[in-house]
Order: sequence, then structure tokens, then C-alpha cells
Amino acid sequence: MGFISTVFWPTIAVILSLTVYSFLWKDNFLYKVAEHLFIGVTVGYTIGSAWNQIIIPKLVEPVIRNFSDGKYLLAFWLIIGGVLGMFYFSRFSEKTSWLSRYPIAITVGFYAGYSIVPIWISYVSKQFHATILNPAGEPMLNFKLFNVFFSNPTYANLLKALNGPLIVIGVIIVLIYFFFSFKNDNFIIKTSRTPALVYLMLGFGGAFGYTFMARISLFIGRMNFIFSDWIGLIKNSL
Amino acid sequence: MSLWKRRLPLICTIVFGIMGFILQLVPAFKSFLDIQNQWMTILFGFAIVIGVASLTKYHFKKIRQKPEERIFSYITFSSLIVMAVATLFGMKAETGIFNALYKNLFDYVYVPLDATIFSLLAFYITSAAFRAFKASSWLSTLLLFAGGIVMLGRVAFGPLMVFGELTQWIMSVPTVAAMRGIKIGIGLGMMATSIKIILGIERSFLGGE
Amino acid sequence: MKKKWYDVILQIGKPYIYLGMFIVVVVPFLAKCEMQTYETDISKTMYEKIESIYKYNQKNADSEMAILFAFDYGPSTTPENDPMVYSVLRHIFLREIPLLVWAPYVPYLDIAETRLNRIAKEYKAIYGKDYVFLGLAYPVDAYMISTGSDFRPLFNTDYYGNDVYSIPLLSKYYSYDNLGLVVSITSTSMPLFWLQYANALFDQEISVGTTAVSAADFYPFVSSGQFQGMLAGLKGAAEYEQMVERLENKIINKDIKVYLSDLYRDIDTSQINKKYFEPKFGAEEIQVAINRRSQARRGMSSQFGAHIYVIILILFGNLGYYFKNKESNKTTVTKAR
Repeated sequence: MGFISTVFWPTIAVILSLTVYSFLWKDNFLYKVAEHLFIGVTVGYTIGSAWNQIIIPKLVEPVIRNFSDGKYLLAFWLIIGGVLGMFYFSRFSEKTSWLSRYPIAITVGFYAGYSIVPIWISYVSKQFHATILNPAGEPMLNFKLFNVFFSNPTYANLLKALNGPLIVIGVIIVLIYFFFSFKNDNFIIKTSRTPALVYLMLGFGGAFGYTFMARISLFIGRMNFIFSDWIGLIKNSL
Repeated sequence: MSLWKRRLPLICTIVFGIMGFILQLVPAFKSFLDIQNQWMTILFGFAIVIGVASLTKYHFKKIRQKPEERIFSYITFSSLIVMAVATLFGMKAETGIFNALYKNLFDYVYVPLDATIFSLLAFYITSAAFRAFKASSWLSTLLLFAGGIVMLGRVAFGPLMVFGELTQWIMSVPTVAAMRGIKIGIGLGMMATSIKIILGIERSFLGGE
Repeated sequence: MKKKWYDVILQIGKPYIYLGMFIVVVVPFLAKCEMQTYETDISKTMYEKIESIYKYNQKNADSEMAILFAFDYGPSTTPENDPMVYSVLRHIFLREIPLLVWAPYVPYLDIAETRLNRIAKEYKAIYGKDYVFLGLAYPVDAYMISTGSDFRPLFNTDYYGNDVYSIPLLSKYYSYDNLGLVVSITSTSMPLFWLQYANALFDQEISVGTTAVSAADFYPFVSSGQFQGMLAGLKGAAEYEQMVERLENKIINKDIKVYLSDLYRDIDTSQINKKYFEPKFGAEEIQVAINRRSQARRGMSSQFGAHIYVIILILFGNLGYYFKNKESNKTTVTKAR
């Protein structure tokens, strides 16, 4: 009995994993069962946990506490939030689904308004700043580094001197490429197109290498579960 | 344009959008911002319903229209109900049958299925790399080389370390420059969209009539 | 017509390619290979940042800094993110830095809870005094913004239902004012939210551990100093694992097996709340804990096999493609004549 209780569920997990991998050979009935089981379990989990983790602790309990503390206005404001949130249920019917526009309108509007300045700071101004000065506060176009290279000509010093200007030039031409990607005969725009593509291809190549690595890691993780966790468990239980 | 179905939601967007913008800028409204945050948590909590609604609608439709695939929809619904009940009663409980069922379903059904389905990508990317990653022009050859060097460089050791150093250079110079250009563009685009939303110009998120 | 060699290569069936991938991943695994990897600057920056908090806390015992740790990943990317979480948490507990933890989505909660308590147990950390699991921070924007002043009213209770105002650690740490660092271990774009709300508005320093997919995207922010270092994918995790292993050997200075089996042996465990973890180590659990210490490095050996395999595939694919093109060009030219 002890063997069954410790091994039963992990074995289910292994069988389900293998069922999913059977899709690699060809689409089959078992894979479809696993796929639909996954959808059902995900949604079921979302419903149960939304109740336990959001509705009760974020709505019901604060409303009760605020009422008992005499903060009626605040409690009332939270109830309005709850009622507006319930408008999402209107999605179950085509006729009433327009009601769900209210909570969507409020959340989208609020965070759109709130995030304008933060986006400016984090995506634009700090990124431009970093193209002028590096985090240590030195200029990115630091030509003194070339003097260092000429007095001590090593590969490391050459790279040190070149990296800053290469980043600055890269950012500028990539921006030009994106903002003026339509047909344009301006000399600067025309000549910067090819080097911009070189930067982008190197960048995307790097991103591909990383992405490949990530995808393989996921498979390694599953193999780790089957070949070290599960087999270990079976060996120990037998 | 009907008042209740379109105009009023749009007014809500504009009012709350401007409210968000002001709350961000004016520190004096900090305590109201705290209350507003609490309020948004509740609103967001219910947004989960959207996913549940569209899934249920889809499967009900499928049961009606495709009788041969009915069995899969039944599997979806029954697993949904079992998991929902187990989570509702088992998540906060520390012991008991619901807690045990919830824990086992989460750890040994939900997690492995999610991870395994996602890990299929490892095979797809391998097959795609073999079939589609071709040096057909000099730019695609460059992409291929950068990708190859990074792939080797990330697992480099000993004699392969030259690839490791090249990888670090590719990631910290050309990639930074390219991605920074893209990020600045995205940032400006996001700001423009946000401004359009709070001014009521961008309305697509409200859906059709 | 007789098939040419390049036709054979170009027409290899998908199942065979998949089978090859399966073999190159599984063999290093079964052979229990473990790979040492070189350490990059961006991983070292993150390590040094946490060390600097430790040094600050040593000098300022009455105004210690805490770390807010965000479990921003779900079940699907546990293979990449888990080893990062394990080694960063071990670093934090080894250096006894006060730790607050939250997760932004519901499915991430259970993942976070088990991993946090698992590591806390290895260092005898006490819940409420050394670390707290705040629970769900959804929608995360609201929580990040409110941490600018005080996040407690938003949480009401921690994950376990304890009142936030009754937890000793939270009487001191509830806003960015005394958070030395935010660590986001993620498979999502969550670090960008951290940038917008915590870093841009409150100058909060942030370190990131991300799946390799998003790493290229985040490089500009690492290079600009908006992120204090980054762990990129399984390799980043393996690097951090090595650094923490050296630190652990220095601080604990004895065999991990002996350390873990002695940990709860001679102390009164009745004072420890068993709700969070059982204060004892079984033989099997010790073995798992030891395995966990090299999880990323074991994965890296399979990773090596898979990368070499795919490079060879790409090479053969391109050779086949090149010769096929050459041949068809030749035929067209002959036909044209």
C-alpha cells in the first residue's frame, strides 16, 4: 500500500508526459485526451484559486473589516469595485457582453494613464542616457581609450576603445532604419540601411541562439523528472 | 453610438486614464492612490472570468456541432469540475482529502502537463533549424553565424572558449545596440498608444458595436 | 531516378531528428555528467550586488536592508528557473538577509511556496523573522506601485492567512525605502514592469534571472545599469550555482551531507512551527538536496550535446541545400542550351 501511495501519482505524471511526447510521432487519441485534460485542469484551477486568493482575501475580508472598523465609505467603494468586476460575468451571453466593457475600460484607462511617464523614463530617457554615458558615468564615445590602445596595442584595448562607439552608432542607425523604413532617397538613410541590418542580424542571431538554449532546457527538465526523480523513487520504493 | 454600450465606457476610460496620469504625477494624492490600487485588485480579480467564459462557450459549441469530438469536451468539463472543487476546498485546508487531491492534481497532473506541452518546442525548434536555417543571402548567413557562435559559446569550455568570448561580445555590443534601438521604438509606441487611449482616440480594446 | 546523397539528407524524417535529440539529451544525463562553466560579468554583478547588501547589513545592524524576491514564473519553465531560484535563495539565506517573497499569478503561488520553504529549511530560517511569503500580488502593477508607500493594506494577510501587521519582519519592511534589491526570477516580461514602476519611479535596484528566450531582450537594460546583473537561462543558473557553492563551502565548511543531517539533531524543534516545514532531514531528502545543488550544471552537459547536435544538423542541412542548388542550376543551364 505504501508503495502504491508514493509511486501512484508520480507515475501518472510520467504517463501523461509520455502521452504528450507521443504527439511527436503523430497526432493520436491519447494526446488529445491529455491536451483536453490540461485545459480543463488549468481552468478549474484558475476558478478555485481566484476564489481562494482574490475574491475572499481582497474583497470579502476587507469589506467586512472596513465595516467593523466604521470605515463605511471605503467599504462601499470596494463593493462598487466588486459589482463592476462582476460585470465580467456578462461575457457568458452575447446579449449582455457589452457590460464587461466597463471594467475593461476602467483598468485599461487607469494603467494607460499611469504608465506614460514610467515608460518614458525606463524605455526612452534612461536608454538614451545609457547611449551617452555608461553606468560608471564615463562617456560612451571616449576617444581617450584610443590613446590607451595606441600606447599599448593589444586586442583587449582595441575592443575596449571600439565597443562604446559601436553601440552608439548601432543605436542611431537602427533607430533611423525603423523610423524611415519606407522608401527614402536621403543619403544618410540609404547608406545606413545595410549596416543597420548587420546589427539587427547579429542581434537576432544571438537571440536565436539563446532561444534555442531555452527550449532545450525545458526538455532537459522533463528528462530530469523521468530519469532521475521518478526512477530514483521507484528504486527506493522497491 | 449608444450611450450605455459605447459612450459611457469610453468616458470611463478617459476619466480613469486622466486620473491615473494625475495620480502618478502628484504626490499629494498618494493615499488615494493606495485606495485606488486596492480597488483595481478587485476589478482585475474578476477578469479571470473572461477566460473561463470563452472556454466554456467554445466547448459547448463543439459539443453541439461536432458529435465525434464530443468525448474531448466531456473530458475538459469533467476535469475542470474535479480540479475546481479540489482547489476550492483543498487550497486553504492543511489536511483532508480535498487538500490531498488538490496537491496531487497540481503537482502530478497540472505541472507535468504544462511543462511537457511547452517542452515540445525543443523538438520543433530543432527540426525548424534543420529545415529553415539556410544561408541563402549574405545577411541570412550572418544571422546563421551569429546564432551558431552563440549556441557554441553558451556551452563553451576549454578549447571552445574563443566562442564563449565571441558570444559575450555579440551579446554586449551589437545585440545591445540593436535591441536598444528596438526598445526605444517600442517605448515611444507604447507612450503614443497610452496617450491615444486616455484621449479616447484608440477604442479597439472596447470591441465592436 | 537514383537519389543523390543530399536528397537523402534533406529528406530525413522528423521522427528521426527527434530521436537524435532525445539520445543526445538523455545519454549525458544517464552518465551523470556535470559541466563546469565559465562565469560571465553579468552574473557576477548580480552576485556582487547581493554581497554588497550583506556587507551593508554587517555595518548597519540597526537599519538592515531586505530583499524582495518575486517568483515571476510558472510550471512550464521550472527547468530553467528552478536552479536560479535555488542558488539565489541559498545565497540570501547564507548571508542572513531578510527576505520578502511574492508571486504575481495564481499558478506561480504553489511553485513559490514549496521552493521557498525547501531552501529555508536547509538554513534553519524562521518564518516571520527571517522570511515571509506574502502570497499573491495580482495585478502586479498595483502591488509594485503601492510598495512605493506601504504594501501591507493590499495584502491584508500573508499566504498562510497571518495578519500582515502581526508579522515581525513586516513591521520594518513594507516599502522600497529599506529594500536593498528586488530579485525577479522570471519567464515573462515582468522585469519590464519592475523597470517601469520600481526602478523608474522609486529608483529601486533590480536584479533579474530570466529564461534564455527573453535574455537578448533584456541586455540593453543590463548594459544601461537599470538591471543590476542578470542570470540568463540554464547557463546563468549554472554560473550562480558555482559561485554559491564556493561561498557555502567557505561558510559552512563541512560536508553538506553531515551538515544537513546534523542541522535539527541537537536543537529543541518544538519551538519551530511545522506548518512551514518539518524540522528534520531523512536520508532521501538529503540526497535530493545534494542533487539540487548541481541541477543546472548537470543540465548543461545535456545542453552541450543538444547544441552540438543542432549545429551539425544545420551544417548538413546547408551543405545539402548548397549542392542541391548547384545541381539544379547546372541542369537549368544545360536545358537552356
